[in-house]
Amino acid sequence: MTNLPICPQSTHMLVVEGLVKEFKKGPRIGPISFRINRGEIFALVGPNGAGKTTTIRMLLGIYRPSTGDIYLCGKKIRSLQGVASYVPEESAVYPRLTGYEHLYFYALLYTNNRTHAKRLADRAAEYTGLSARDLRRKVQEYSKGMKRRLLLGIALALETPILVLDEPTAGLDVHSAVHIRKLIKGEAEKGKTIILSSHNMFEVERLADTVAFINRGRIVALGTPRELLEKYNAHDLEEAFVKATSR
Amino acid sequence: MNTSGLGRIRALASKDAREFLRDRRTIALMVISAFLFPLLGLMVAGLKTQQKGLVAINICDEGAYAEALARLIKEYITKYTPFNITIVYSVNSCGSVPGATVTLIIPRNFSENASSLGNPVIVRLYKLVGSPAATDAESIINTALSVFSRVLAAERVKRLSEIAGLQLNPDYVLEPVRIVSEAVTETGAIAPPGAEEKAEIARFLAFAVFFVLNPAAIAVADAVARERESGTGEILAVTPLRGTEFVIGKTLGSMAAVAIAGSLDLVAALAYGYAVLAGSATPVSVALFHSLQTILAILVTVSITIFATLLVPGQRTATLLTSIITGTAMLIFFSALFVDIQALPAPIKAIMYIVPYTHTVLAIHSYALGNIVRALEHSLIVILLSLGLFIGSARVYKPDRLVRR
Repeated sequence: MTNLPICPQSTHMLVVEGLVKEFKKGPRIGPISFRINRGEIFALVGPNGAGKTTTIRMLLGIYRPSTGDIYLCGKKIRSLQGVASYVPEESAVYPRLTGYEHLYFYALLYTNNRTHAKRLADRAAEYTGLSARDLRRKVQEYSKGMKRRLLLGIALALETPILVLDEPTAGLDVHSAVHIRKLIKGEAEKGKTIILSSHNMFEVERLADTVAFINRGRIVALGTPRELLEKYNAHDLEEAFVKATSR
Repeated sequence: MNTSGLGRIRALASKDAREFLRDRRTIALMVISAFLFPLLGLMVAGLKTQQKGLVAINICDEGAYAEALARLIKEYITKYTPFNITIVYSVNSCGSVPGATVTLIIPRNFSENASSLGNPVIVRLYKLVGSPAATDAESIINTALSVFSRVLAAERVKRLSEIAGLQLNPDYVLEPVRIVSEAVTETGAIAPPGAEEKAEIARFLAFAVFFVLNPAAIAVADAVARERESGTGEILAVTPLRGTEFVIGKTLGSMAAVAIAGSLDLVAALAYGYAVLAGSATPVSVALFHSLQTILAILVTVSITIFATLLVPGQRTATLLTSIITGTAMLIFFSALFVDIQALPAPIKAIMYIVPYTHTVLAIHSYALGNIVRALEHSLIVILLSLGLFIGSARVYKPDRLVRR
């Protein structure tokens, strides 16, 4: 289990420098560079195919970057594998397991102590907001929102310093989306660093401390929502994004 | 590997096993495959004995020999088939009987020729074109005719010997060459009693491995490919789970499928002994060894499947791979029913030896015939191949193999 690391005040929690991914077939992504502080919510915003998911996958070690470096608390690391918990865009579950079995399974992958894993699963169960009865049901009976809550619940409960969320509220009803945004905000306030990708400008504007506009594999603008609004003389982030990507 | 690694392996294996045990359809398919396919085979054989038909014997001769032959054929037809039989006496019109599957014509002068010393005795047979039932009836009539022919031949020899004033046993004239056969082992020693029956059981049991192998292969291939296709692999790839742990976890998880297949196989193997060999029991040790071979065959299938699906990920690969495995397994196990693999020319044998299931077949044959060392050698080949593929799988593992692009 990785506890939340205490970085020296002068050091960023995560530094990404010149991350590039070149595919044999497909466009080149990068170079991508940014810095994130502890407890910060960092949003990657961009259209489909802009490179958000590839950037996230490079960070998480799913794709090996062609070049570039990642630093955690000033220490160079290969990837965030095992350091970050992750909720991909697709609510992928094991249909024949119950909700609680899911939580316990992922908890066991992050800790070798069964009692601790049980505690993490119990905490995750609270985060999901699902009833005990629902958690005893097989996941194949869950709605899309319930699956999302399940995955987010365990990702939040795991004591990883970084949480990565790909489109966390995509396709969810209003109640589920509000519940999930509250959880994200709450975890950031507790000191967890959060990286999220989203299409939803309203969500980004309300949640994110720092926003990176990404287009055609490159970050075209980076700053707090207020800085971006001022820089592009825009009323909202959507307008700022359009202006940033049409230049 | 540290304790965390072992914990992660246990978590993955237990998750996979739980998923498999809750997959009632696949388990039902395994049960059906283990018992239904052999039953279907027996049913097909049984259907052959249920064919209906009409055998007509048209007697155009009034002698005693014609009557005797008709009686003999009627006895054989009634004994071995459910065919109806009709005997027609038609001295004037000596042709086929309309509507009959087979008509046997006993022509005029049949008895006269039969009682002679040198004349040929001819009967004529008309059979319905394109009818397997007619072919079966013809085969039984031929058997009856050969018995009748031998009786006539013995009578002729007896009469000739009386004319020549010789004391002869007609049997030694008609069949002067006799074969005394004995079963021997590969070393040339006389085989113990019952060895031939054991070999027959082993041949069938080797074929029977195929029945449970197929659904198990599908289940395991699916367990690996599904992680990628359903998207759960993307989450797994980010956890602290390493490649070696993934491969071992998946393998141990498939043990649920292996255990069920092995148990089903043991029960089925004992049952086959009774069903196929009409009451001869499969020796328990042979049945147990057969189950062990089934487990090893599934293990090697698991290792091939994991290796291939990690090397070329995707559901299509898994489906294609399962088809290849099923086809190859069918070829090998079906060959084992009819072909002595050891007696094949070296180049063909070498190609077959590359396929692990050949060693499964040979291990079962060798064990049933008492050659324990050779049985263990073949088992060891399967084990080593599985281990090699597991190590290879851990090497080719990369997190992006679990993720759809």
